[in-house]
Amino acid sequence: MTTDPASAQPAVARWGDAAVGAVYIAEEIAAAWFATARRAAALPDEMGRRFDVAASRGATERARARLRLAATLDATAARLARTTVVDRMVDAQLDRVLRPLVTAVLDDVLALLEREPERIQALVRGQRDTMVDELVGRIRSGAAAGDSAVDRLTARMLRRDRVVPAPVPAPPLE
Amino acid sequence: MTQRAATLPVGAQAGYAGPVSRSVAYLLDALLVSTLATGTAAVAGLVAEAIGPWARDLTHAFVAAYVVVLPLIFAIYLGSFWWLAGRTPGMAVLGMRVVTVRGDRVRWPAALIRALVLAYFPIGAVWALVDRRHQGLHDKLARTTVIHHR
Repeated sequence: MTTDPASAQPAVARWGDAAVGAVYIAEEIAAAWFATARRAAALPDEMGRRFDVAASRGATERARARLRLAATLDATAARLARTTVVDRMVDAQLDRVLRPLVTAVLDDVLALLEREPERIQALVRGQRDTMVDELVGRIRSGAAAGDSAVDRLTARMLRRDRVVPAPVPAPPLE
Repeated sequence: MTQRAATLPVGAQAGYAGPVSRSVAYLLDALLVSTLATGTAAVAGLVAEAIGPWARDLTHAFVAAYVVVLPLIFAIYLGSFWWLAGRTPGMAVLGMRVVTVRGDRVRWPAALIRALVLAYFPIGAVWALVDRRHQGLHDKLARTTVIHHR
């Protein structure tokens, strides 16, 4: 005849053990539940991060596609503009519109200059003075460069380093 | 006797005119004078042909003495411009002026001496290459110098 250890204990002790065991079981259940809740709470952040990555990637690809489209359109327009048909169309329009306009305006300008030549004379005079000044300036700068080169050469040959100051010229007579 | 010295600005347009500038100005003036003198001689020859034999002989003598007369004409040209304006047309193009070593205007004796020496002994100007104030022999004798002055 065997003795059952569980039935040997008093009933109160068994109830106490059951209560402690229930508490531990409840703790385990709660821990598991909290872990699950924590994972569920982190899910929106992960989802948000993945959403941002996808949005950024989408924006980059959209910009790239826009640039490719613009480049394609530019190349197409450039090729189209160089075709013979378009050249002939443009030439025809220029002949039809621009040539008569230029001829008419040119006639008016020439007639105006014939009536009021002083308008162009000052401009021509100014251009002539500018050309003369430019020529003189070039001559002077070229000569000055030659002077500097000669001075450097003689200074090196004669071992000079002092610059002699020039006299102040007297003012011209009135 | 003190010398009124100018303060040279950086990258200066002031200062003594160098040998290249002076040579270019000399060549411009020489070209101008020789062109005018040759043209005048040619016109005089044509006129002399029309006047008569004595004028023709005179013109021939003048042309024969061209080598001697041309430097004199050049000296008169140079001296006149230096005395009256302080610069010749060639020097005006290069922006230079002749002054005394003290910076005063050149008087007619100095201008005449300078012009005669330069016209008949131009080789003396080579000294300007090595002189500190770029003075040639004619400058030394006339106590002048050439400076940049717009």
